[in-house]
Amino acid sequence: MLSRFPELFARYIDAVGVVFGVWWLWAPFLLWKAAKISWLTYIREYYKNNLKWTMLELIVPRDLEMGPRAMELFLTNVHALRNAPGSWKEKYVDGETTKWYALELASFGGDVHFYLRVPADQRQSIAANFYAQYPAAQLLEVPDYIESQPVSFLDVQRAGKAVSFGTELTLSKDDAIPLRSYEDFVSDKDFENLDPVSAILEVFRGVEAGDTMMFQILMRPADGEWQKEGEKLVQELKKKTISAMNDDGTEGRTVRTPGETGMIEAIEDNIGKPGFEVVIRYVLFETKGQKSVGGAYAQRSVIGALNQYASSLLNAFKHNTKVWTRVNWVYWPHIFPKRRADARKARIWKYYRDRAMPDEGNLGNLIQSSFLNWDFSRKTFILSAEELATIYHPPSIAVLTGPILRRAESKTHGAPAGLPIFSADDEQDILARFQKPKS
Amino acid sequence: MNDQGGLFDILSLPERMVTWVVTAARGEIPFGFLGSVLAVWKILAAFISVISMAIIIASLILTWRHRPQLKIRPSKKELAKDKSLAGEGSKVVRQGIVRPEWDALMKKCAHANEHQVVALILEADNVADEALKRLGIPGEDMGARMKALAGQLDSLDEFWSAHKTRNMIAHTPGFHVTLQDLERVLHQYHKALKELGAL
Repeated sequence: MLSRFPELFARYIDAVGVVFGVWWLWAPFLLWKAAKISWLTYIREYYKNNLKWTMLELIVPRDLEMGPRAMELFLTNVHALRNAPGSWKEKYVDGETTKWYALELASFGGDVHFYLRVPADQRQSIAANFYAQYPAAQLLEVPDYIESQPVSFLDVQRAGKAVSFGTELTLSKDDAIPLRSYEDFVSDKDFENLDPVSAILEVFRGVEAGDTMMFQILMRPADGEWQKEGEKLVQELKKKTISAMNDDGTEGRTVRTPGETGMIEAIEDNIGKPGFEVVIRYVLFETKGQKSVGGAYAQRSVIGALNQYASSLLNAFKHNTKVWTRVNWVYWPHIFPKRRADARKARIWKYYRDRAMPDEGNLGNLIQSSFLNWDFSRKTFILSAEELATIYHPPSIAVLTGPILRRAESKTHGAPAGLPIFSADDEQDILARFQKPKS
Repeated sequence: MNDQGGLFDILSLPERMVTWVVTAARGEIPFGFLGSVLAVWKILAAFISVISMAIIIASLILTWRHRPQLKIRPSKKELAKDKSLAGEGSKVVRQGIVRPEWDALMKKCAHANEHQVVALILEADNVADEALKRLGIPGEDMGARMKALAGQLDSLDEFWSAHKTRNMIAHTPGFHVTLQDLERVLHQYHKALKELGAL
């Protein structure tokens, strides 16, 4: 066999030669496709870097009565602001991609703040939509808190801190399968009205003094693809159920357990709502060199609080173990665990700062990989407006939070209808409206 | 045609077609109208391929220039300027959240006799619950907290088993526990707490 090797090798080269011989069959198509992907990656980065953002802080009044339902309506309206490249020029020359939003929670040693980062040109629409749902709350334009945090991984060290823990979350089952909705928790009766957001707030309040925990939900309005996948899933589930056969051989009633029916109903409910592509990410900074208890706290508490909305029947959150900063030599690739952990920490902090969302196509990920940390594992998942509203909404009166949030102290309302703010012509005319007619 | 060997022997197509294909594969211009079409296509294909390669290289260069700086170790110059960068990156010394309590419990268990087993198991359960509380896991009582861990913990079954043992001790009068039970329960709690990062 071995003596035939040169001959076989020559034959092999011949075969490869034929493939190259017909380069005109495959080369132009493959190369053109690769060229499109590389170009789009570059031009989209250019577009995203040139976007202007506004940071808004959400100040919640003490006795907010609106619950998550108002947030769901707000998110549904935000979804309608979705932009997408319309023409060839917008896609390839401008590099336009869908703009995304950041819903953030930051705890500076127990002092908790709610933030919203929105594209600057949509600020007016978003503020208007928000006040339509929560007239008593305030959205203040503030400088981005991230500017007061260290920039790069080495800067974190220079500032005497350390990145204790960072992770991205993902869903345990398909996108179409929902979490438990806020509907399960709210009730008309006062003592039964629970706001699970209180658990998340408690977690952030429990951050030790000197530590900083930052949490973000990046959301990008999605198109209808995920709903089609959801419908396919429903069809599959319907097929799986057992149908009882009548005595004469015709198909009888379909027999489904209540759990299965519930699941199908929940999925159909869920795909009826507008969806967002979501990335959930959070990091914890601690003081360098001290004994740390924060890593385990950050790892368990946040996901524990979010998984109140989980159920084993429906969907739940879990850590994306390819991205999180817990690296153990026991797992592949077994080498340089500390360096890999540090590389992951550096990357996750960079992505947090940039509010980075993965794009269509994987070439961008190749650029951002370092030698020991190939980055093809990030992914987004889809949450409907209802699920998003369930996990992130201004805490209502049901949350007894006391002094941990900076609250709006006085109630604000819209202006009374008759106030002539828009059409003030003549002072006399204005006053005349409020005077009794002379008898 | 026969010198192509095994690759073309099996073809039983008309000879003309085979000759045409072989000529094309060799890189020459075959005969006939189709041959001229192929020649034109080859020129077009070459053009497209060259332009595509130029675009690919240009895009890669442009994106590479703006790639993020994800340095995790300081260079020698940076280290000389700033001593605070010495040491291993983001090193934090993990301390178990309930380490002191667990160590105290272990000391007591070292010299335990049959009569102390019940109290020790109850104390172990308290330490575990304290760990869950300090880790920030939400829940009204220990059962709710343990439910919140579903899917997060590989050793959850053992954790539940230990907790059930404790419940049986607390709620069943006359439930008999031995030193072996103590050892088993402690082992289960230890495994779960270790995995949670509380020890």
